[in-house]
Amino acid sequence: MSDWIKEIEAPTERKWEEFYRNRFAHDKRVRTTHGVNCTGSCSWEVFVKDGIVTWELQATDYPAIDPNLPDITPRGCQRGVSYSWYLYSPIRVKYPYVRGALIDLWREAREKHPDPVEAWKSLVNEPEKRRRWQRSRGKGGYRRFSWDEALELIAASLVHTIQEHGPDRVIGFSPIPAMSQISYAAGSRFLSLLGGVPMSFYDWYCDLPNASPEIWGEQTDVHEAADWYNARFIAVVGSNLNMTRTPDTHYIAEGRYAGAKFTVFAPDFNQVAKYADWWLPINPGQDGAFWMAVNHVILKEFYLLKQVPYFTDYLGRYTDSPILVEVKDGRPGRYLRAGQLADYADQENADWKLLVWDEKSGAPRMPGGTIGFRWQTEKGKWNLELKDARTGEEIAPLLSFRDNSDEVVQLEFDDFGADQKTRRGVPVKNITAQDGRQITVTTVFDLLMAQFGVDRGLGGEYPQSYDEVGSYTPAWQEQYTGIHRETLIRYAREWAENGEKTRGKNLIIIGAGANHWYHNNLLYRAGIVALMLTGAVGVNGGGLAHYVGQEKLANQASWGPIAFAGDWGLPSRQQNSPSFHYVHSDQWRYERGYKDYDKTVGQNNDHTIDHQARAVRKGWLPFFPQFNKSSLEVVKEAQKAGAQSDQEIIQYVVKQLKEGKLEFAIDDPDAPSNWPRNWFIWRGNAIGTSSKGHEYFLKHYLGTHTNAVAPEQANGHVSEVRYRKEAPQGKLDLVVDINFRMDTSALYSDIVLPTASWYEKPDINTTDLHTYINPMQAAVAPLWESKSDWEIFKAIAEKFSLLASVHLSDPVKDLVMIPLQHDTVDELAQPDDRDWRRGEVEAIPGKTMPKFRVVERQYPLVYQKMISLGSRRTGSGCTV
Amino acid sequence: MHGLTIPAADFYDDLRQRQGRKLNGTTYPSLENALEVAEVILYLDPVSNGELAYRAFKDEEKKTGQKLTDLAESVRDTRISFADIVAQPRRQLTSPTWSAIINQGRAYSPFTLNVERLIPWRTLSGRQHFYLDHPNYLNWGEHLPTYKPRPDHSMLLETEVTRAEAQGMLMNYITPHGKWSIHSTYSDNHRMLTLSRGSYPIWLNDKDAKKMGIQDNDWVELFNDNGVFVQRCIVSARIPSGTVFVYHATERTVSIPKSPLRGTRAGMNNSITRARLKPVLMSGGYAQFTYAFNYWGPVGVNRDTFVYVRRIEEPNW
Ligand code: SF4
Repeated sequence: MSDWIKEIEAPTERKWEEFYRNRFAHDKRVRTTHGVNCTGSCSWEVFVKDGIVTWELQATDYPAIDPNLPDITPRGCQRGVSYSWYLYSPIRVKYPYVRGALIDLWREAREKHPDPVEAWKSLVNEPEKRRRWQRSRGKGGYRRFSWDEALELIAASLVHTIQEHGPDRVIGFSPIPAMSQISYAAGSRFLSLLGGVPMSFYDWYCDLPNASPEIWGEQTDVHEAADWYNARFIAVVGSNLNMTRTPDTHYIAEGRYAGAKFTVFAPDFNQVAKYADWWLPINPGQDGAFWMAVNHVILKEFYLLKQVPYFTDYLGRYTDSPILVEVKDGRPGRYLRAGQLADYADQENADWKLLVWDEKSGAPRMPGGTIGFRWQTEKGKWNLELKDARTGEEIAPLLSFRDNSDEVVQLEFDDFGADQKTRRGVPVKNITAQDGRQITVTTVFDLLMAQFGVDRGLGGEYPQSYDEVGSYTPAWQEQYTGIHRETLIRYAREWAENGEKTRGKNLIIIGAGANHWYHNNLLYRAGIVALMLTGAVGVNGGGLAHYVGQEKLANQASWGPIAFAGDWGLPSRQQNSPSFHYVHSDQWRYERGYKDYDKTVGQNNDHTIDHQARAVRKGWLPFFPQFNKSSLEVVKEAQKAGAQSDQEIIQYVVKQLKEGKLEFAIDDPDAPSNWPRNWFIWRGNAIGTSSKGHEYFLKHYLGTHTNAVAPEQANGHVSEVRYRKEAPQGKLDLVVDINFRMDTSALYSDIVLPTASWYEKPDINTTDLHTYINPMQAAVAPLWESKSDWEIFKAIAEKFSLLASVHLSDPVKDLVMIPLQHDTVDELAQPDDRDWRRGEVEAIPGKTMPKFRVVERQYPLVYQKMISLGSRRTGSGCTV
Repeated sequence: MHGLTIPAADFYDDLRQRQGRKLNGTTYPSLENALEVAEVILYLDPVSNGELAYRAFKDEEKKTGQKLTDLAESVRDTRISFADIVAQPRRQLTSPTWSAIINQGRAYSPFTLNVERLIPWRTLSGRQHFYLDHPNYLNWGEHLPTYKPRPDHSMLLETEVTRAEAQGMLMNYITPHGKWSIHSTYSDNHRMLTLSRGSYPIWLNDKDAKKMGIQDNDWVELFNDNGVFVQRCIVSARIPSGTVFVYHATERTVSIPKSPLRGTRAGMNNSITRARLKPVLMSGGYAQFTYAFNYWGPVGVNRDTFVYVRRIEEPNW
């Protein structure tokens, strides 16, 4: 064929096309991904030409999981595919920046003080000077400065804070390690070696579904998207899949093609709603009411009117429904403990072993698998076999006493919606305790039937039909959900029928739209009950798939000790951010107490911060700073008083706490001795998108302008903490933001350090949504003056160690306070709830109060330890 | 993890050989550069080192008395290195540090290991809990699955001052995840700005908007006692009445004008919010109610938030 006419006529005119073609030419191709807490973890090929990233393409070479599952490829989204543009965008942080007011003061001080630590001290201990850079936060005025100057200033401030206030005044926030695990570990490892405080993110983001630890003892454990394809009935609750799980949504289309029913709960007509077989436009935040009524219908039609062997068998084996509960004072009480019965009283951990009613022997029996077996000396009985763990005999746990009760008692149930109590009949057995006392017990299943208002002819205030408005009928839920009762009944039946036919292939995909409400734990629990009742948890294609945040660190077992310096035998001061921010950013001062915003409060009518303070002293939650004194000073005092061994030091501290000579910082949160001082922010937006109560952050943390006009209200409403008349403004001495975007946190910090982004560094990235491990790699070297997070924290550590060899040269002892820990024997610490400060129980560390550990810190060695893997791990996954 | 102890001393020694560095006369595996860290993470974890998966199951066998090592028998020789995942994405191995059996083409579904191999859940009863008998749960009436109404705006104490200044409507304010950004990242990307309307629009229901005299693309001010937010609005029948959306998340970097009400520069999506903790979620010291980082504790809820909405003239910059 001949050339285009244009090319013959005007050969130069099409030269511009060369430019267009070159735009997509490349000389290098690198596999990487995006670390942006999107949950995608998509594999991307990034193309580079002449050292410039030019474009990216979705990788298509994932190995298939199984020929019977749709292929995972290609994965990606409209945001990710634009990243090559973002790399060079105007908001990119190119150089280290510092607040002008600060650098002027610093340079002036450095002239006077050859020692940088002395220079920092001369600024930070001078309130007028300190206010100068605090007030300028968020008002522009950044200046470029050198890495060397930045590192020196930061290191000097750290040394000073550790010397003057203690290491637990140094805090760090970085979210979602799974999205770039090494970059996260850079800062958390450095902080842990210092004795500083890594702050949590999953709970603070409200991504943590509390119902998961409540029901399963698990943070979150969910399906990879490929398993959606195995489901046959899908309920999407508060999760806009097409918008927020872009790379995964094809599994829904494929699942529907394979025969799944796809139902969507959403108050707005959103992207996923228009994709549904059945859209339920439920009122915002009322999904819990819907599922409560679904459970009412399931329990009535699939447990009372007929029985489904798969369901009842599942309940008996895998849930607590047959377990015996003591009935006391007309209400459901504690689980019956093995130790209460003569037969089992001599068991190890007998308070922590539970009982069922065995149909065969007609007596209470003790199955294995309860937590007492997990932490006892004799191993091998922590399992779900249906056997009496003492005798080894097979048992058949009875779900309900309805057909062989000793009597029926009327128990009190709460109806929070109507703000009233109801009394409903429950079948019980009377058994004789070891001490001769009569104990009345029922099963969890019998309590469930009563709670959900399923009338079994036992008397009491049970609703008589689906049309009666009583807890929790189809008619009852209408007032909250706006969904008609007939719709609900049909939904519940189809849900349960599918569970019966498919043996549990019922899937709830749930997200932020449900989890971000105040009573999220209850909302989730209601849905999870509908899953358990249909035997759906623990089967392919069934269960709860909660996706909010990319929290799954597939290789957490090996990553954990690196990230928190467990390899050097150091416990890390891990802090839950919601408590920290509520207290330290003084948001508690703007509340009058719990009763003002929850009318379900009952007896518990004091201030939320009072609960927080009690939770800390009982060892329930962490809180840093620990004490109103430096944790290093406290050890020195103990030693001066004659304490030598670690045990003696701890005893001294406990005594001081008991006598009130030493205080927890939480008891007086606004005292200057208890303020956090240095804040590192990296990989996240702690002062912006992650700052619930942003304006209070500005006021109380930063001491700068704010638009909050709320009056303080806590005065006179708190009982456990000291209320200071003046709320402090500007608690933080130095805020360092490590960022590649000039975002809100960067705007409000004191120093911004330029970091390498996802196309400029090696790292590891994993997600819940698939089971592959993805690398990040440097397609180009870190741009402009940026360095990777790992290199930045190394540089800070190196400079810090250098200054420490002058100012903190000797090994020092630090006393670390740790709350009672999950997955350790601490789980058996408190059979009941008693407060040592009120004299209800002895103050015993690790039992009735937090644990304390004395550790040695060698500050001049921080850098060396940071870059060497210590040997204190006995294996990957070892608990420290 | 999961309370397991997995002996890995031999693999630690391998790493000392492969990437050793000396500190005070002892050789340790080096973590000097990020690639070395990546190798350590992959080499010492059961999801990428089959022998460790095997040993982890061995430990779990001891605890449970159940046969489990068969789940890792065939992958004992598997080692996934960084070079491997660079060459091609590699699937994780079945490991008791997680809860699913993903061998032989099975997709990951949580707790299949518990159901099929009778490993208890890490709870008080070892089973899934309908009932929670922590004394705090009994006190707060959350021992059984239940329903509690949403906190009402009159209880939240965040519209007390603004009620006096209020013009416009009191609405529920929520921040769902958006389409043209991941949180705030990418929102200021040229590509994303071209595909969307740009900036951080406030979404309103059409009937609500009409009541307030607001038309699509008008400037709107959101305010309560916590703070203020000013942007243009999008009016759509898609949004439920009584609710106002600002997609997660906004920045204070560009496109933020001054607030006519406060006279100062308006804030961002979190200016309207305040942290509210639910005390029952502080319960601890007891079985599954014990602390672990990011595992337990009160959470930063943000949807029970009320805000006044009003139309404003083109604001000052
Ligand atoms: S979903 Fe995939 S493509 Fe989109 S940002 Fe995340 S990793 Fe990138």
